[in-house]
Amino acid sequence: MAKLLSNKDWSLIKKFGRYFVPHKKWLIVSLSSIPVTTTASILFLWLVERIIDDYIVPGDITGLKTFAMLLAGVLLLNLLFDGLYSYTFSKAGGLAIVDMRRELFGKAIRFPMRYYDKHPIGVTLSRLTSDMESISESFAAGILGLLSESIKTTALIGYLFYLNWRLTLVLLIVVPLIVLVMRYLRRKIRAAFDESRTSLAKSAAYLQESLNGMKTIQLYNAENEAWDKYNNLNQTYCNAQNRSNVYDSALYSIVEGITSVATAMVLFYGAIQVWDYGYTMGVLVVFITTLGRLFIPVRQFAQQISTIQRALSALDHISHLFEQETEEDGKETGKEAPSELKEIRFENVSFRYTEDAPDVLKNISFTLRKGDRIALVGTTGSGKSTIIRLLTKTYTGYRGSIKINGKELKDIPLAEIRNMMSLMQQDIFMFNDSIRFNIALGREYLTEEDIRKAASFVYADHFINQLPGKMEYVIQDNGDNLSKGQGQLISFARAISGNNELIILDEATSAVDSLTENYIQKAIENIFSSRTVIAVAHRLSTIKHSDQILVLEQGQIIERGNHDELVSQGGKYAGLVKTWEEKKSDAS
Amino acid sequence: MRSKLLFLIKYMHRFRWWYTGGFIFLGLTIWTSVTIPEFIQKSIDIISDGEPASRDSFYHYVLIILGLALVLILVRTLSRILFFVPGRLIEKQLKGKMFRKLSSFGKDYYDQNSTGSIISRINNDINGVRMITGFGLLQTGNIIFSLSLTPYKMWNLSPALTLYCVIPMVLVFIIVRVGMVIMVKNTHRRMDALQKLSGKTISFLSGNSVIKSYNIHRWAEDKVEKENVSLFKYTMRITWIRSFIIPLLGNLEQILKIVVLFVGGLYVIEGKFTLGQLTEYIAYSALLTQPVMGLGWVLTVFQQGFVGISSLQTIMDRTGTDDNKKPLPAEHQKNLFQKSITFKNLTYTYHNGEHPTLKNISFSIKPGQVVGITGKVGAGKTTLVNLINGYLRPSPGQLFFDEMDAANLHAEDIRTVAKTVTQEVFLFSDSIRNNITFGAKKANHTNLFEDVIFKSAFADELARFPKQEETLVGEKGIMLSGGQKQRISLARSLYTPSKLLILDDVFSAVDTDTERFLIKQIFEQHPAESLLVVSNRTSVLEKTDFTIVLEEGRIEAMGTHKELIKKSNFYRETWELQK
Repeated sequence: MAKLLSNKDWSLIKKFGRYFVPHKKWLIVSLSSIPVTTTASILFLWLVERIIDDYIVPGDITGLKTFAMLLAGVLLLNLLFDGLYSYTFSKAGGLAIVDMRRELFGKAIRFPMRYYDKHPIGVTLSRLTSDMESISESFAAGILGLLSESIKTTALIGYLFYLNWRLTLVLLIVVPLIVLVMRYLRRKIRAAFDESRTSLAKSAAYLQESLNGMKTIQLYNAENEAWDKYNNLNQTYCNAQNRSNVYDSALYSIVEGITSVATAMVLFYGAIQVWDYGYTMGVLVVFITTLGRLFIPVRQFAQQISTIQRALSALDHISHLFEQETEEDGKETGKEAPSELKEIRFENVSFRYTEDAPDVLKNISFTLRKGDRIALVGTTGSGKSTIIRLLTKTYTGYRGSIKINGKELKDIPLAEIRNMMSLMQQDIFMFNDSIRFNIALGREYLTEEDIRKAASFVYADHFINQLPGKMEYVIQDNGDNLSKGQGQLISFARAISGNNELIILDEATSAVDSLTENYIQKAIENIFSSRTVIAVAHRLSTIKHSDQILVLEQGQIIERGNHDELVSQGGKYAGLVKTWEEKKSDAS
Repeated sequence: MRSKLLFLIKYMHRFRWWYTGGFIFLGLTIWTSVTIPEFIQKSIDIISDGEPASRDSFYHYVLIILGLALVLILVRTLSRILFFVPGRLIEKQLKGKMFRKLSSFGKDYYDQNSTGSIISRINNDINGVRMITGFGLLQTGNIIFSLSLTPYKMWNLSPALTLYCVIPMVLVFIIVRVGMVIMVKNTHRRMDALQKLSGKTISFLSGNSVIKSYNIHRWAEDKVEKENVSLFKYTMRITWIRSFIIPLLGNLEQILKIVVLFVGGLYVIEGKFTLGQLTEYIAYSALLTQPVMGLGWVLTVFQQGFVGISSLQTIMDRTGTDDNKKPLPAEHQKNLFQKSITFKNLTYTYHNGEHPTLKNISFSIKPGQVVGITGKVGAGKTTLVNLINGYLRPSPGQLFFDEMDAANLHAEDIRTVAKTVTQEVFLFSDSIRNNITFGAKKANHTNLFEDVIFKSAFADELARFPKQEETLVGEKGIMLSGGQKQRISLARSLYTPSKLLILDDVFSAVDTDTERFLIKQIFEQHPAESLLVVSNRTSVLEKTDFTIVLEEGRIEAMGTHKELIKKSNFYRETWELQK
């Protein structure tokens, strides 16, 4: 069996073996049942031989009755301890999987955003669900029986050797043959399985994407196009599965058929022994009626090989995910009140998203003190959002220096950073939970009063009060049962409710009608007068209220100053303001 | 039940020759495996007789056993392949069908069913059907053949002993069956738990950036942990039965061996049976274990599969928005918007809404017109847009494309007329080019890619990407800013020409420079014959032929910029605010 697993498999098994350590008491119970069941199964054979040779052949009816009873008792014992073994073993495995999933999910939500830029969520999801299921399945069905059966079989072979070592050797001639066939087919099956797993994950990821984007697919009449793609992915999966079906079937049949081959050989050699050396018939009958048992582990391995392969591929995938770096570890501080902020200083900061991409920020320097209001102005792609992503540590790996309260950003725990600032993001995400929850987001220090205040602060209370259940109204996934503007308002309330010193507004009030926006502008004015703010803003009104305006172009700050200074400079900003005013309609 | 069988037959019919072959080879498999013990018995009797004369036929028998073993390997392999392959093919076919069906459903369906639950339905339910059409059928055949041939051979040897064997078999089977029923119940609970776990996981991974910025990892972990633990709880309930009840079946061979040794042993002592016959009988009883075990599994496979089928049927039997309509021929599609798109006193209530979202809407768009729509959050702007583009369907008699009632039109017809750039942009994890040319495979005319990029004010930024239009967009376009995503979406809508281009708040996420450029491109170059622009920017609205002001689902006012400044309070206030 050892040879049927590669070194990589063993190292995977070793790596994940540590998850069993906390649950070793179940493993111990489980493993200590094996000697009991092994003894019982040998005893069973010994009793069968005794019954034939000592009672049936000589014709002793009383002995036959006693020994038949004994045989039943031994079987019962075997059943009970086998059950105990299997139950406790699964329990240890199940607990290990619970731990593994917990740890992996914890990691997955701590992967940097960079990771999800490259890896679809569907793939991570299948690691956490279907891959874990494969492992769980292999515990329930595969590994379990295999282990105890292997031990039992070894004992059985030992016993058969003791009974008649020549006959046993003849019986075992077929073993190397099976091992060779299995090794060959195993490789094929493994390759087919890897392919089918990958294609299944792709097809699942595409399905998820299509369901999320179904509206877009429909609006563009692209149902057929999407179907083609999905169908092609499924075709690949189906082909790989069918290839492994062929190997599986062959393997299964060979292993089943080998029993008959072995029977023929035992008969042939057994006859010679009985005729020429006077061996008893009991031994021969025991051999012939039990040699099927001998191949049980082989048969099980063949049956479970796919389950085990699947589990091993799954382990491999999961182990890749475990190797991914998470964002720095920091204590979770969701339960504490916000930390203080004195000063943020950017010095010659440059940044690019990937090694082969150009710099999106070049030598950015500015200082923000407590109470300051900074507006970032510039065309799309000028780097405004990137500055915010760096500041919130969504992306790391900048060059130059960013200091908060005199401390380098790199050295400040992530949790502390996030606790210091409240971010109003471009992409609004709603959880499938109540409005109250979506505003408070698990921050336990927020009181009911805080939440209500925040809602009315951004004029969200009007529409919330009209919803059935008000604050208890359950928002669907992605906020589908709210209008976009309503979502914005909630996400506004979310940002404001934390009473964090620094508020970051990233293109905050788009898609809200002018009157509501007017309210929000007033709200923003309030925040501006009480908090420190960095805003990626398009509105002149917001920009005018800022102490400092940074005008960005292609990753560089080309102008800085307050509204009046910049207008009098007559540069890019002045030009922008001029066109706004000419059109009498500055960006809302 | 009947409909479920018909469902199965419908899909299996295509593979009837596969299945026929499968059954033939399966029959051969069973026949071979019950014939082998006969020769074993004959050989053993020769051995125990020790007659030197019959040794030749002994060698002959051993060779036959060997030959039959090889035949067994071959026919068994073939029978399995012939059953399993169609199962997989049906699985693939069903997935495709489901996908097609799902893409025919409208908003009402997706409001009621989360993505996570649809996915797990497709995976688990179709898996159930595959199990029936592959493994399930094989086992059924196996059971039918084995449970008729083997008992027949046993009966021939000794009817009384066969009856003795039936008692433990039936007992064990009943106990195990009860165990299975409990197990299946828990399997369903476990599936539900798994579904909930997937749902939570998807939601938290999608909302990862919010979880990060609000530092609520712990909360998310707690929620997932709850599902994680409940999944474990149900797994262990199943394990209990698997450990203590189900193995009774696996040990049926041993139980029968005790019965046969005891009763059969008595027969041998009494001289009614030879030792060879006893051995043969034991070999037969061993052959019984597998089909009886299989019977238990097969019942479960069918039970679970049928649950899956009924769940699939709820999807398959649901009529898609356009199932009863056919798209118009291409030349008719072209003529759908020759005169006007007309709203006649339209009132619309969402499937899950209590009050109408739109009330008494009447207006019409003529070819060549530019129409604006404005109004507060929740006034019904996007609903109106979705009615025109066919995402939502009005009741009959309320919305007309020329003389055709929109309620009777196929979505494909409507969408060849109207293209929409939606507020919320959806991009696929694919290259920028593929995202822009998305949906154009069927189109007979497309615009130049470079041209479209330029018109959507995306050319300069695209040039700055290292791989340009081949740049891969992360899931939902994460690497791009909101404005960039919106312009890709705009480019997508411009790539294939349309008669009516609907822009639902496209200017909200772009800066003023880009906005000016876009307005110039859109209003001056007229990429489509007619335009419907949803916006709250009066700078955009003043360029329209007329603008509709919506308030709480009604048309509050309608007219040109100048008229609306006089007529509509909302419009005037908006305009003054933006001055």
